[in-house]
Amino acid sequence: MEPINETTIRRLLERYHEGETSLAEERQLSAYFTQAQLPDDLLPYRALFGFFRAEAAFTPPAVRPQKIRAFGPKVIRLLAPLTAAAAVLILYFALRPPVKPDFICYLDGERIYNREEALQVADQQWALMTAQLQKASAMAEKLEQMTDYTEIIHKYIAK
Amino acid sequence: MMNQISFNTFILGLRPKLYRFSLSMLKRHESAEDVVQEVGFRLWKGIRLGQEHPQLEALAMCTAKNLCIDMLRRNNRRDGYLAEALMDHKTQTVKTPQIILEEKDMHAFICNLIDRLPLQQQMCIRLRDVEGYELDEIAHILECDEGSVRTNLSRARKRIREQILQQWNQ
Repeated sequence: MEPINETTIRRLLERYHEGETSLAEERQLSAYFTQAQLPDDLLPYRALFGFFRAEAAFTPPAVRPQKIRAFGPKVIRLLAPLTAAAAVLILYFALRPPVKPDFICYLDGERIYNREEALQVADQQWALMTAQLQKASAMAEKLEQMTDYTEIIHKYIAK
Repeated sequence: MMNQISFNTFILGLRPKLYRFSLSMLKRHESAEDVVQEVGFRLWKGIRLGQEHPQLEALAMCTAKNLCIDMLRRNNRRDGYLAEALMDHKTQTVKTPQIILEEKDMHAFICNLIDRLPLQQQMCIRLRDVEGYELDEIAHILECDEGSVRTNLSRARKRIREQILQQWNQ
């Protein structure tokens, strides 16, 4: 290896910028730029090689615990929380105590839990029944009239 | 075939390189950690399937590079860099506040210069000047030929020299 002097360094720098230096030569360059006294025009390279050394010296933080990889494919890993949420909901609905309503009645075969709704349905049924009764009484009146007319016709034929 | 213990030793030894390289590209510690773990997972999966590779380290770095590019494409997130985080770790000798500030400025400046290079040049310069890989190894990692690695490296270095000298002379 060539002795490190300024001329060598300048030649190495040229080759470095052409991408022609070996790793050993680049280490030589890096070591040269750690020294305190440098020619003014070479000072910028100290910052550059210092940057590379600092980057290379950076050590990552401690290894964090491994992710759970047992699920395998990403889709399954994404679905896992949804599945868990669904399971919780199912358990909730399956295990919750039955709710006892404070009001219950049966109208026309239907179960009704709400008092107001029951009254409303009852009113409707009542109105329907009244309408039917009115219709029936009207028909009865007509039948009565028909009977009267029939009697008159029978009397007339008999004469 | 590599067993689990030797694989763990190998991947733990390679972890700093994988982490630094991923961090330099992704700029996020969590993403870099994700890449390191994914690389380990994929390599071990390949080994268990009997896929032996003669250059396992180059394969690991190549996988990291591909994962980083995928993440960058997916997230399109190149905002900011973590020079501060790196610097906090690196300036541990006793220096005056002014020197620390100047060094931090210069470090951030060079980091920014590299980040503004084309991606291929960035990767070349980081793999060579930071991680110390040979040109043929870089070619293997970047999946290109040695000539284009040399060209990219030379262009990157010249570009950085030009910018540093310009900054220095101001």
